[in-house]
Amino acid sequence: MSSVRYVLGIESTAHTFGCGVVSSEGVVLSNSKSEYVPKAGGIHPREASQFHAANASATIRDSLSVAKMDLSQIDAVAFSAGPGLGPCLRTGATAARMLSLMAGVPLIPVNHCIAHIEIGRVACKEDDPLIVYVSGGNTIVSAFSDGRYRIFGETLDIALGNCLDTFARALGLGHPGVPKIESLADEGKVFIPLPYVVKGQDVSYSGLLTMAIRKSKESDPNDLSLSLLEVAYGMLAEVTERALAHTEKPSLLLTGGVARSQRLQRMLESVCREHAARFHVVAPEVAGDNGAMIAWAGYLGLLKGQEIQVEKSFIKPKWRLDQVEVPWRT
Amino acid sequence: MTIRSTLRINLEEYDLAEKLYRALLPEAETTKSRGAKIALKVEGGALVMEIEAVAIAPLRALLNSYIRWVCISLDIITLNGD
Repeated sequence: MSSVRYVLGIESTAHTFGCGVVSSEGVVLSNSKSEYVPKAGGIHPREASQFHAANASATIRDSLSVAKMDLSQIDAVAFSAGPGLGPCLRTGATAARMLSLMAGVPLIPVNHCIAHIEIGRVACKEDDPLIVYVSGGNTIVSAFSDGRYRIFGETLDIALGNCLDTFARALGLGHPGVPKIESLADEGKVFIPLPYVVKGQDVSYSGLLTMAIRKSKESDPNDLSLSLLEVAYGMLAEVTERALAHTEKPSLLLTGGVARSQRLQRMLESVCREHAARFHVVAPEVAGDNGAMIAWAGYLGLLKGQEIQVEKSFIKPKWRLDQVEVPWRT
Repeated sequence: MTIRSTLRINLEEYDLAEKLYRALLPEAETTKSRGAKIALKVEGGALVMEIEAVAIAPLRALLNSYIRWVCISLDIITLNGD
């Protein structure tokens, strides 16, 4: 009898509904997703949850089909319990509970941030990196210590991805914003001074965003985009470098949706060179929100008995990374 | 003024109705609404949702949420071939 186990993961913290199947050997058998794109403005939680409800079963079906499996072959169901948008989390949680009940298998709640970290660790084969997790909803510098992922730096207000996406909307660039800002920045030549706000080990992007939008009325968009990225990424690089020096971790792992930024990768790679640390970035297909990372983190939790009763599987919209015990790491 | 609404989802099998009940129970225990509350129970092969609200708007909002979650759950049941 095969000892390989298969976990199905459901992701639904914000604009992505993802479903992935992962084996206990760390192989991603499928990673399907449907993404809500607002007609205008940012993510409206209720509308995003309605989108997820309408697309959930098709995404799950597709994931099982790509994995060439059916529900009876799944050994556990994992779901992103938080942090995230409440209505979106509830949609994914309900789907996961029903999957778990219909298949008669354990249900495992997963912290979304930890999922981003763990898929990066297994994909990059790095045991103990310093982690820079950057997305639309999170900006965290973290390292494992004493049983948990500790936070060595974070945003005091908005996430880096949120800052860039909002700026892109203000410029009429549409969604997704970050690649478009990067393209404009590549053509920029003049640096425009913008608020550079680092407080201790934390960063603040709201003032930077406000000033960048204000200056968009009078400045060249290429120069402004260049300046915004250099300041925003520079702030992150500063706190990352201090965290690297303090923790003396042998490597750095860049994960999250904004990890796809080549400019940010170059900046952090140069930080790593200064400290003789290895630099890793997650593959683009698992950088953004996805179900496979939830499945993998769920498998790690399953190994350590983190399954939960369906009736007690509450969502946690404000679930912090450092509130989670990580027993699969010593 | 109290407005009451009862929604009955008939699945014809106690086992399926009980699974639907268990899948929705965490939401019933944690969804905070200023103007409406819900109670869930299983009656034979049906899930019964009883909503009490102070006005039509919160009643409709809560109903919409639960109908959405019921639909997802029914889709999952279908996925399993039931």
